[in-house]
Amino acid sequence: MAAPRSADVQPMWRQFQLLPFTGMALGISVTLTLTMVVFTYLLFLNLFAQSFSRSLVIVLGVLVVVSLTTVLLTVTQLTYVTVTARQDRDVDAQRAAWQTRFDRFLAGGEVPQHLSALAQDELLQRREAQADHPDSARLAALYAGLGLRERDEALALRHRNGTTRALALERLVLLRDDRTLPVFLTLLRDARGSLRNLALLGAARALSVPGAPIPPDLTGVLTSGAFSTQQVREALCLIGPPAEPLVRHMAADARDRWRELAVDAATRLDPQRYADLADTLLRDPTPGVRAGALRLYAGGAPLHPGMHALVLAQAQDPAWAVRAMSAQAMRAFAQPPTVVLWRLLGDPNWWVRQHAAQTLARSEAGRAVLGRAVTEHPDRFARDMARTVTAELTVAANLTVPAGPSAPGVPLPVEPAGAAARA
Amino acid sequence: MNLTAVEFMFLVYFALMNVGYAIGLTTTVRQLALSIRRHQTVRFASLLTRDTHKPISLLVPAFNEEATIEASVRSLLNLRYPQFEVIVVSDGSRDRTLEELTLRFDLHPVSMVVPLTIRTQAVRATYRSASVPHLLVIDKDNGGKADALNVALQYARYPLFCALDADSLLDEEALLRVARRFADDDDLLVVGGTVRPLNGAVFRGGQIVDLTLPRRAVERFQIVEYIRAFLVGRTTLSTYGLLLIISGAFGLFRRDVVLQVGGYAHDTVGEDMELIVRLHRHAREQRRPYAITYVIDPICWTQVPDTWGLLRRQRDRWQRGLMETLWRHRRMFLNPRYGRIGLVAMPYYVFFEALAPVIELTGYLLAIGLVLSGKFSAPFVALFFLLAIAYGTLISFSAQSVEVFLRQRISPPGDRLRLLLFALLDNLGFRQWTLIIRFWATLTGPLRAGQWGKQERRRIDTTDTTPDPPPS
Repeated sequence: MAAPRSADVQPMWRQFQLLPFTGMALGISVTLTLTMVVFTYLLFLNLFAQSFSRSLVIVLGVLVVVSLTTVLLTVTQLTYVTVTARQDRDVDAQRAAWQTRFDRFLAGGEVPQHLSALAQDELLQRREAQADHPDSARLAALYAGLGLRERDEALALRHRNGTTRALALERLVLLRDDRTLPVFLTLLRDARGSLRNLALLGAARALSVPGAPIPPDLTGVLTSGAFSTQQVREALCLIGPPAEPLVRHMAADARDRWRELAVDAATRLDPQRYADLADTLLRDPTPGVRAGALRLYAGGAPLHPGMHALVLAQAQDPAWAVRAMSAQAMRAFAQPPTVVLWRLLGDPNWWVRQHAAQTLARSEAGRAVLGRAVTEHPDRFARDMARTVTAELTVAANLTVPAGPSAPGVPLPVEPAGAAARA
Repeated sequence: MNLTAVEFMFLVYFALMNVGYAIGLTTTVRQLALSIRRHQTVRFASLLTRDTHKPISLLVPAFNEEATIEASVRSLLNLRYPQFEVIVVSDGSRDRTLEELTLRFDLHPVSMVVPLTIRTQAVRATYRSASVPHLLVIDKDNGGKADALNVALQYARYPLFCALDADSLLDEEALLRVARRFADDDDLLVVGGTVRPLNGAVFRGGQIVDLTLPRRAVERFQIVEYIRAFLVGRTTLSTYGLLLIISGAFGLFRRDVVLQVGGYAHDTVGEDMELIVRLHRHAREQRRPYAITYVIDPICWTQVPDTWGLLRRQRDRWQRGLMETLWRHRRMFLNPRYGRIGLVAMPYYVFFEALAPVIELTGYLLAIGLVLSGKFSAPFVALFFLLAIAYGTLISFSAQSVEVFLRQRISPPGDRLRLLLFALLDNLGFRQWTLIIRFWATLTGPLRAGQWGKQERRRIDTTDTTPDPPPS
């Protein structure tokens, strides 16, 4: 039985003979362009010669070139379809045969002395699918032992064709061998974006091993502008816990976007570990960073009692995103600050209202307040939001939410005069 | 007029056009290699397994789609992407679209409050599926496709949205492939994918497993046309940053920016193109870095018209949409403030797309007139016409040569030969027929602004149409 393929995403293109075809198509294209330019130039000369018959010869000449090219493309296409259709049928059988040979090898049998391109792919996919299994390391050793890792490294670094380099690099990324890290780090500075992106993926996977040394200049490379924020976010998440020095370095960056990214990555990686970042960045001058710091609390970072006041103060921030995240961060409070949340429920921004309602819905006391807000909140949009979230609660969790008038004992959360001034 | 001068003019025009095609072909082939470099499966797998993806809202406007809606929604729910929601908007359907959805997906009414920033027709009710939590159905008063999309846009929760036609099916990995582009580029506003005709597809388990050539000539011509338009045309325009159209059938957008520019325009039949031009305009006026691109390998399968009448109406609508959009944004035409969009893309779309029917038909009539009046050599005209056909065929053949590399392609040799034959015939009648339709639409368009014309849907048959393989 064939091992599962981890990637399990089908390649969109058949790569059989793609590069020769690419070369041929480029040749056709250039030939046609030159033909047209030359014939037009000839006709330009002919314009002054006033010879009609020569014009016909020129048009006929172009017609012959175009027709021959068309015939060539037809034959190529039909040949390609026929050959690859047959090839498709053979591939499954070959894959199954190689799986059997790998099974035998892993059971202590004969070591394969040569791997076809298909077998190499199969081995790498199998290793990827069983990354944590001891067999996986043996497969990687087999690949390296046959000199294939070194070959791929050489191709990825030095081949003149970009596609060949990318394909070699992809094999190395799948191989996930620590020894390839220097190659990945070198290629992080490559001029071709596609290679840089793959190298980043490979480096992130290699660095995810606990204890792997994080190169000191990696933060500089990541924030150099060669990568999008999303790519850096992905890389940090792939590296996992070992990414901590990178995240902390970025959190101290002078540029807003990288501080924002650092706090976002911290939320995704381990909010508890980065709680001190939230404490610091909550005082950041940039609203996006403050919002991120609040999200870190909402994500599970422990909130020190001394920070309560600061989080509550953010509920009056001029930036709606900060107010919204403040409402969300209040989920970390032992008791929801219903007075503030009641006010945020009537915030002009929809997202702030929504987060306030969702935070209220997470505790019994909050749900009681939410129930009252359905009928008693002075803001009609707040009443709408409370009604929506209450209805969702009732449907989703079958929770009993006390309705406004029939909820005795629930005080109406009213802020002291002057405290409710909105920013 | 000097006879040779006329010949010369024709050939210069022809040479220029073909140099353009050659550039297009070269660009396509280069992009093909680039696509392979960029879209490794391991990168898609990483997107699937990490929680750093951007979630996507799939918006499906549906007006009288009872025949296709179930298959369409089911195919969307089967997509491979970590986090997405499907929002179907029944745009005042008068058939059983809503009942069909309620029955098939166990819909229950829910109350929702959303921030409404775009004026739309009234929403009657919203429904959530009890069986599929990420399916939302909105029932609203009829207001047209743009109106339905604007409603869905405002109910959407995620940062990216994909507008889809209800008669379309996405390849199961299409979202992964388009979303990858957003991960690679922070400035990206929109990504369009390839649209391919669904007609002739063979299904198994709700997925397309094979392609055959459909029976009707009208469908076959469109297959040739779509392959050429997407695999060569859009690739080239996108490469040079000149893309003004992302097919309404399949495009992934950044939601906040579309809301900023006011969503889809109600008063045009070309709302998909109009939105793209407006996004270009907005970004250029804001002087912000941005990109609007097409990627070759995410695929959306769409049902193309299977009768000449339906095709005529569709092409008429497309041409009017094009004219309306170009007219509405005429301020951008040759305006250096809009960079290459104003200086190159707009003139290209005006002269080679919108006015092409007028220019080409005038050329045909002029040539015939000159031959009849004896001022032009009939053999030269005939040869020139042959040359035009041969070159047009060559471009279609080249596009089809790219198509053979796709995982899903028309494979039987007999079908491929027939497809090549239709690429030849495409220039020998079909092209001229569409020119006449578009010419008429150009003339009468201003009188019919915003009118959609009647549409019909065929049921998407996703039952298994291939026998199971024999037991090994």
